Amino acid sequence: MTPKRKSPWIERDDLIKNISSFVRNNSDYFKNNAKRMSDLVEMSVYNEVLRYYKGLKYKVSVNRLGRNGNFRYKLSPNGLQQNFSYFSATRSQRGQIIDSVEIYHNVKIQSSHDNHIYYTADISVVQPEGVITEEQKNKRRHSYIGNEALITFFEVKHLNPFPEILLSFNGIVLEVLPEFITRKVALDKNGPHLTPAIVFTGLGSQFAQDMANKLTHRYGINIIRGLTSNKGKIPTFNGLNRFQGRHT
Amino acid sequence: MLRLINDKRRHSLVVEGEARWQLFMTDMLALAIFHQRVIMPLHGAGNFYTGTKKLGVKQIAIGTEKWNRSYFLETAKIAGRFFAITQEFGIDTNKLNVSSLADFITTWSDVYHDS
Repeated sequence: MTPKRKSPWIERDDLIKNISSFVRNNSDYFKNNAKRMSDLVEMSVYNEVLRYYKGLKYKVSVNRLGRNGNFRYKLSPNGLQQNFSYFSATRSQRGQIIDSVEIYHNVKIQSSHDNHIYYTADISVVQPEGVITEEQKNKRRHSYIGNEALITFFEVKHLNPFPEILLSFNGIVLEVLPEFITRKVALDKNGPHLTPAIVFTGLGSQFAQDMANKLTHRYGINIIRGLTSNKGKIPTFNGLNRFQGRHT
Repeated sequence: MLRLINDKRRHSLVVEGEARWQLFMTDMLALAIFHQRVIMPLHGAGNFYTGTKKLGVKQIAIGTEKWNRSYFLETAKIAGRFFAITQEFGIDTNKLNVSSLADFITTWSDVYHDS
């Protein structure tokens, strides 16, 4: 027999007691991970990008895995990429490789307009060997994705969508992949790559949703919402904007 | 005189009901924020670990921290415990996803008045 459900407002004292004891019992965990919450959401979307390519029959593999299967996760744009792990995805047909990409996180992307302007996307999909490490004027080395090698990128926001953030994403796209804003990219619903995307955990107001739909339609970008309601996963890849890549 | 007393009683019942409704809304809103800000990211960690385990990833090094199987098990347990509480009280976590405050209040007012 299933136990009778309690009412959250009639048995409010019980609810408060249970939640308080839950928070108290796990307080160490919450304290230690408080600064990591946004990183955890990024990880979820990183995994979703891998899941997307796996769904298209790409063979996904991990590179620069450390000893004992240690995945060295890059938390910030600082640091040389060769010290961190990343993924590759390769699609073959009749034994021949027909497409190959590398999937990075937190690597600087070179602007399309200026070689010395960079933006760090949370997740970037890049042509093989697209990450460059070179010395800067100050003699310090840095790693970045050459603009020509960039295929697409994902920006993750642990927020509800709102107008200012949607419009600022257009500015980022204009800086790194302007052909979307100038509408020179041919969308292809059977294309292998998702177009640049901003991914939100929240759903946003009706107004924000309408605005997102219009921007998605106008520029062919993707504005993905509602990860919270789907346990951190992108609800569906169907209906998202896709394209063949930049150099086909 | 009797009418005045009845009016006063009715008024105090309305005030009491209103206060209870406000408490309920505040509780649900607090749970919604906790669910979105804390519990949801825990799924994220689990998704990454589960998704990459088959590729040979055994632990994730984030700076000096190492997240291994036991870390992800603990993460999953914590999320599980939260959902056990919401289930015990019949709280539909899908309704905790706040798209706007107005929608949230409408949704949970319906739950309150239907229960």
